Amino acid sequence: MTPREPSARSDESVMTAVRDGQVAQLGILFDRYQGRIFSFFFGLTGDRGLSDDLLQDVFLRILKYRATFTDSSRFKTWIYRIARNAGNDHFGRHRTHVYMDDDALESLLGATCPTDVERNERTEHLHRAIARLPIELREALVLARFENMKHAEIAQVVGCTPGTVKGRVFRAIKTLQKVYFRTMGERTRWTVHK
Amino acid sequence: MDCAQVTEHLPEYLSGTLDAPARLAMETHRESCPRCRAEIHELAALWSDLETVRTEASPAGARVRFDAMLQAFEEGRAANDPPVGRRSPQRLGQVAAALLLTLAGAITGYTLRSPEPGAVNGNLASLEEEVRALQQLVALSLLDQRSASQRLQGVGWSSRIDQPNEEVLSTLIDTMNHDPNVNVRLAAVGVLGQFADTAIVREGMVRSLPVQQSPMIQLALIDLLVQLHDPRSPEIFERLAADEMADATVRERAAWALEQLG
Ligand SMILES: [Zn+2]
Repeated sequence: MTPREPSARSDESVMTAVRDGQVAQLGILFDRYQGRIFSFFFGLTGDRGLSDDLLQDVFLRILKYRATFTDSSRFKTWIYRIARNAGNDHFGRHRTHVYMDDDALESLLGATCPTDVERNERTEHLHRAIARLPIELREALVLARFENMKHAEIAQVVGCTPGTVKGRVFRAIKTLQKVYFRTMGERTRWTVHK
Repeated sequence: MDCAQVTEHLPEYLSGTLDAPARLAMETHRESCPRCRAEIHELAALWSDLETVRTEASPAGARVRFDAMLQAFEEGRAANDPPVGRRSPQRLGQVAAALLLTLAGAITGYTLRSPEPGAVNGNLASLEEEVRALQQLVALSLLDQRSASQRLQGVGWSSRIDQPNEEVLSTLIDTMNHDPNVNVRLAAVGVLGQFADTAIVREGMVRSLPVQQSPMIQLALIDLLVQLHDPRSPEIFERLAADEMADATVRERAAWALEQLG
């Protein structure tokens, strides 16, 4: 994490102000967190338009449920829990297209940036491999790798033990390893059949 | 450190959170064990390649969209809500309880572990209701903006509402008929298609087709109306197929549509 100048207010004090009625200050937290929350959803879904919608949904929920932010809450953990929940709601409602869903509407809305569409083959390949991971493995991997969160932090977000998180991250990378290196044709030795 | 311990520490090793002594022990083992060396090498390459999948670049319009949402929220709050201080503790308690349950992963995809599923569903339902009310507010506010891209976002928001109210649906119909931007109109047609089981939307589509000028919109509407099997459609298709002023593709499609219904 980038260090802030000493005068910068902590996430928690900004969120407390938001909770107590100064809702416009949520903009500060939006600026601080939009990239991370977006990348969390993009890691989970591979869909830019959907990730943007879910990002907005998270901040809508923060406004709505701001009263439940307590003085002992850690903002980072709190917002990832809300994000996870927003994602679960979405996946629950749209079971059929959980990943890489670029339906006609999204393209109509022009939500996808053309330069991002032109991902190279490797990236595409990894995306597909990630897409096949069970959601709890995908989530643990995304939080550990993309969000740079420690296992203990992830455990607080998803509600399990750090040991469980570690196991999930491990299973996620072992699964990716098989899919990734086998299909890339770069390694064919023992790693494939392990 | 042995092979099993190396495996055990791999996740922390990859994320760079392994403490120095363990790291050193692992690297010592790696030098003498080709199998672990290959494994670490491969997983480290994979871990590094994952960086290419990651993106932190949220869309350029994200902050604008957020601001519109915030503004809509403040307007809605001024209109509907008593100040926070005057909220009844019971109400806040309900929201808090619902949120906690929600955060615990009670919603879809995760096991509901409450002894009283009925009560839980009640709370979640009211929470969903509140989210929907806010989404509608945001959608309406965006649909009313001057910039086409914001109105497009408004259409996008509408599509995410489970059961939009009549105001949202009428506004979408109005957008489909009168928005100056054809992309916005087309997007509105697409979203209205999702809600075609409502009478007001069917009615809106049936009335819209004869007055639309853009072939793209006409084609989209014809296709939707064919799917709906509305009894009013054949007459409209017939007239459109015979309309010499209409676009040739549109006339052809109208004739095709007529056959489908006949
Ligand atoms: Zn070894």
